[in-house]
Amino acid sequence: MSFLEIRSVSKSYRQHQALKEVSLDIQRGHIMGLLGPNGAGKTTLIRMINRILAPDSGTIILDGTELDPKHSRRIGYLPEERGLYKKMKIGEQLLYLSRLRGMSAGDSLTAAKKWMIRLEMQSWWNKKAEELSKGMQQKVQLVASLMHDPDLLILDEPFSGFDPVNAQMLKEIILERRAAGTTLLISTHRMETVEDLCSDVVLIHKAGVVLAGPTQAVRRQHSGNQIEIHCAGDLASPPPAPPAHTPVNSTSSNSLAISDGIASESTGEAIIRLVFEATPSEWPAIIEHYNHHSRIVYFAERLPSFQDIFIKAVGPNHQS
Amino acid sequence: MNKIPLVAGREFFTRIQSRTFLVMSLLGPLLFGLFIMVPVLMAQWDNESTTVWVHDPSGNFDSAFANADGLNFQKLPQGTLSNGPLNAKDSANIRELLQNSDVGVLSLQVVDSSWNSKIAYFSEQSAGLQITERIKNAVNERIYQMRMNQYGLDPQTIESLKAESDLKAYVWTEEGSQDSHTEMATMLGFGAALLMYMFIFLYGSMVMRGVIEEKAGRVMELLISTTSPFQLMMGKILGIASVGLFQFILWILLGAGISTLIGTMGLVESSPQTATMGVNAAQLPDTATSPNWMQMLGSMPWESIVPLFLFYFLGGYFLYAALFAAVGSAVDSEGDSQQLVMPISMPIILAFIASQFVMQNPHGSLAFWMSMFPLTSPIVMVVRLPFGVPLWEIALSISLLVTAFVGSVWIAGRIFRIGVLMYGQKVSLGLLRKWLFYR
Repeated sequence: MSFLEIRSVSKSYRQHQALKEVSLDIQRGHIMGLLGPNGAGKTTLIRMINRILAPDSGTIILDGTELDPKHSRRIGYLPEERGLYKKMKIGEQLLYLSRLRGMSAGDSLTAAKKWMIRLEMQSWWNKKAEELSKGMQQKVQLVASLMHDPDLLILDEPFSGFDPVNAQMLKEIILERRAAGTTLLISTHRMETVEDLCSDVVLIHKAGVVLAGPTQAVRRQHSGNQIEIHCAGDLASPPPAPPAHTPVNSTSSNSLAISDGIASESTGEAIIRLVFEATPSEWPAIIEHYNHHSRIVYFAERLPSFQDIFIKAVGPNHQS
Repeated sequence: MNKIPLVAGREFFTRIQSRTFLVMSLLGPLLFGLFIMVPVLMAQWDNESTTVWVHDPSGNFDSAFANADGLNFQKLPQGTLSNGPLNAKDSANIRELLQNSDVGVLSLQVVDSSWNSKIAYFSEQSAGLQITERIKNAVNERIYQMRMNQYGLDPQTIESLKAESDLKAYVWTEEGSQDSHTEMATMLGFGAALLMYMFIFLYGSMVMRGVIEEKAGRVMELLISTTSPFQLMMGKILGIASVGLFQFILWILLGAGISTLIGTMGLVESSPQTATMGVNAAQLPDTATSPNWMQMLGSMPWESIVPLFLFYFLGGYFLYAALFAAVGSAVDSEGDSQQLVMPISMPIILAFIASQFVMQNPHGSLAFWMSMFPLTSPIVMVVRLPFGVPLWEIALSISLLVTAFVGSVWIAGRIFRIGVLMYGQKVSLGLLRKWLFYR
């Protein structure tokens, strides 16, 4: 059973349909990447899971029960629009926000201290938010979303605004939460986040789900049946092309590093990189051809990046 | 889970810890004291005097004017101005006299045998009511005396003919007649109305600013993901009400302290009215009544007035605070709130202005209707309460206020819910109406 089930949820504003019959499942302990162009309806979806907005139709089920106010205790949320009380002390804000989530005063004090030490912000307790930089404030907000140890953690563009050190720290926390059984929903425009972290992905465009599934499966689905072969050989007399196939793209280099780490320079050979478009049934023939004429040092199916998948699904000329 | 106490608690504690709160709590009574003391002190320090040149060709008014309270009457030398109607040459002369600062020229022309006179007063700046009234009264008094002499009447006899009856008003109740203490009731009612008015504006707008701050600071999204908009709004309203009550209590304590201090320093020997109006203290009505002051305080029906005061105080505040919260949720910044605050402020201001008339006629139809209409009743009813209001009127007014309160919270809750998530909208009353009926 899915941890979070979204069942044909629709929502419209006055003249504009934000979401239309959207269904989505997130398994317990998975990290779901929520993708989509600006205005696709991501924020509306996130707000509905947070019970900020109510769907016009459809239901949202968290861990087997339909969403109700009690679930607030189990959800952590880092909104895209970051905000804190400017004049309030950081420590007090954290206590207030976690107590609003339903933590007891004692538990929230312990949790606030624990997280502030973990994120190296012990000295901020008595500082006011307006005294902190934007990135520092974002760390405070991150702590606010984590303190009550939520079962579902929703992060909206969590990496924007962080320096590389803090981004690495955030990545570690995300993976750590996942290992501890937390389910995560991360909305992002950064495709490398999806490729790095997300086990599943959903792409929303024009109020509906365009594609969804486990990250690797989605990439495979969108692969253009391309394979990449690296052959060792002499640049002056490259191996002939296999019958019925011409390389889509070929480059050759003396110094191409390949995946197993053997650099060409150590062997004194040139590496020829070839890309073919071929269905899996044709792959053995191509491999055999190059094995015969040359020596294959690398072979792989070429999977598209999420950048490519996104642009292909949404179209380069979409109106945001 | 009920998060109202948590939200209210934050509002209360962060606000009373703020520097603004401390400053206002200390400055409030001081400012109030200054408002009262400044006119007194200014009147005491006011050494400026105006010289009034009196042009009196008939010589009848020589004894009419007394030099006192900043007015110094001087007879204009014969021939400075012509004895008949003033002509062009006189105008030039008057202008020359007025070249000096703090100078006025008074021309008295007797027009008939019973001393009816044309009185004209010239000055560089427009003369105040105080000067013109004094001159007019002095001239009339002098004409009165001369007329009495003309008919051979003895001024003392005439004086003794004047009646000096005093009216005492009683309220007829089941237990018999009671002193109605009109002055006491007026002061009490007006004081309560003033407090009510201040409370609604000060703390109602604090609710509005608090909502705007959360919205502009983008904390709102996080807050409403944990708490329902209704609880958030109610928590805010209750928390700020506690801040207000706390501040009022501080002001009362501090004010009492300061006034005792001033009292012991003997600064208020002359009451403000005596000093500023420059009238004889014996003419003031309150000196006659002041011996009964404590007795009157004791005889007010406090046990029924105080709970009702508190009810209207809180009822009125809640009604308006909810509306202020709705306005705060609808706008992005305080600047945008002005045009929406206007329609809310109108009834409060109207009620406050009307309360001046209600004091004079606490049982008239204006008083009745305005103490029924929920947007004005909190102010108008507290003015009426010390005068005694029939039970059915109080019951009706209370139920209307409660209904309106529930209604305003409902309306505000709906606007709040939509408003807090709306940014960059040009909000009009029409748009608010749409939000109200929005799913």
